[in-house]
Amino acid sequence: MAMSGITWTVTPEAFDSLLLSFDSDREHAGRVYENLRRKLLEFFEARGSCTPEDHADETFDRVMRRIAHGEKIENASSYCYGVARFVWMEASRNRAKEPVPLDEDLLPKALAGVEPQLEASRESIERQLDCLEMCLSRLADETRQFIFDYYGEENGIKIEQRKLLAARLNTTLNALRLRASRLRRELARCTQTCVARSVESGGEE
Amino acid sequence: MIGTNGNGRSTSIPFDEDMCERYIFGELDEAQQELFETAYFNDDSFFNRYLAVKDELLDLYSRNELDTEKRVRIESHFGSTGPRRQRLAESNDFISAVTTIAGRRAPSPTPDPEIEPRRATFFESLKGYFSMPALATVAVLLVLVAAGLWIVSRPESPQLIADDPAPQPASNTAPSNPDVVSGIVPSERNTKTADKRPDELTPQTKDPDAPAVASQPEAADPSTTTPPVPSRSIDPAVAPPAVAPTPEQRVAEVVKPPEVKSETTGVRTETVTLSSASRSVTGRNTASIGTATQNVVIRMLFGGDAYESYSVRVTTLGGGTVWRASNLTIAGSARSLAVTVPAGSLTRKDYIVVLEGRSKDGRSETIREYYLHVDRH
Repeated sequence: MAMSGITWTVTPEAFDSLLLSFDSDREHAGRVYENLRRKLLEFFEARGSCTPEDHADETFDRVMRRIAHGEKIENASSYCYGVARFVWMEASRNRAKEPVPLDEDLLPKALAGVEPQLEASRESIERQLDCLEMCLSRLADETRQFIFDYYGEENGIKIEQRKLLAARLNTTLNALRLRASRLRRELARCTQTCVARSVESGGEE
Repeated sequence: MIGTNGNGRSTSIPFDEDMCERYIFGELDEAQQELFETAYFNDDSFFNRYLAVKDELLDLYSRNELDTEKRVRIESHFGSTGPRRQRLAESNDFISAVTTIAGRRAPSPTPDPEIEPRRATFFESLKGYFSMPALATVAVLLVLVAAGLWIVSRPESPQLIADDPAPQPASNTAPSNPDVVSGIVPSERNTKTADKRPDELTPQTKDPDAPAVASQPEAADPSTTTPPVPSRSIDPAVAPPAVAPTPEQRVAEVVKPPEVKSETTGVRTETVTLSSASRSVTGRNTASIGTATQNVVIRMLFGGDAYESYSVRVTTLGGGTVWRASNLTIAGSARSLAVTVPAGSLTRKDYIVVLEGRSKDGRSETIREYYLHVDRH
């Protein structure tokens, strides 16, 4: 697929085509997109990318470009993985040509600023806490208590407490871990959405 | 197999936890790495198990519960890039945040702990909310609290917000958790395409690997509905009682039992009595402000030496001052002070009330810091 020499920018139509290539049901396609994006972030983070989000976006951009050029996608996950590996290979090659930066320079600008930003903007942290609390309040009582039991900080060895929790819920540690992980990501997504809306609406929820 | 871009490829391997850990620690060779990645790109269940293992490793690392060997492996790998370090930080923050919120919802079983010796960072503070007081501190506090017996007679039961449970359909193929774990900052791409995120409008799928807990009431997908205004879940029915006429601002007074009247929303003056720096939100350190509330009387109990004059600052957790008063004096040997803060100065959040004393030689020092939670209804 020849792509060089042509200026190509992402358009809403291209994004629609990408979603359509995932599934004809737009809602389901959206979930596929988010899930794939999550996998791409994991992939690039595992490979050592300092900008996994940029690389994930670059991957989708390339996939969109190929769809725009008429390529058919049979398996979106495998396809995106293949493209992601190309993106990473190129990024690694380019990085190898660059002078070795100091450790702190390895951080992308956005991430390098995270900690000072957190310090400087505690209002923002409070907002996140508010949002997390709101999201937790929307869970069923048992589910919320499960999160508190599983993730809460308390005296004692957590891993032992989790064994007891698994016994109490008549389940396995593995199932417990999966459930906790899934709920945590749901909470993260809910918190993200809430914070974004809060910021858009001016800060005071 | 890069040349084909993997289109149509579907390689699968059984989930191996040891292999998963080595992938997380960056210890697989290229071929194994590709095998593992192909598996999780093609199999959502495999991917969810991978995420669960990773979450738990970071969680246990944050709690210092990993053995030395794994700690070393994690530190070596996760310390090497910014995004990985960020993951570790998020794991810590999540534990602290959940612990904080859990504590807010739990009843306070003992008198409040003493003041923290220094101003901690925000997340350090979150961790500090639940530290138990030393017995001696409790004893001292009990004496102080006994000076205002009316305080201890107030109810402090917490309120859990009503739930919105919804059963979730099971699916083996639909992704269940497409978002980043952090929940801190939405990615630019996600923000740009927020209107194209149908998962916000659809229920979550249940992980097929967790059948044993499937009968548990599951989480309603919080993002499927419009987030309501966040609530600190302080029940107005257990909020501190209001008192009648307040002292003038900047004039201290001896604490005396307030005129108790039934709790109604929208009282013109809300009174809260603070006796310690406990960061657990209770009815005692909560000021409940209604639409008609004009002033909040903050009473502070303290001990120690007397000062020539006192000053009070109300600050946000970030340290920003929202209200202050100085040159306050106390009659006699009382060790209590009350100030009247305009309700409009306070929004629904947590504050630190700093009481400072000024000695005859002009030196100022912090006598005590109190935690104040403001709830608006």
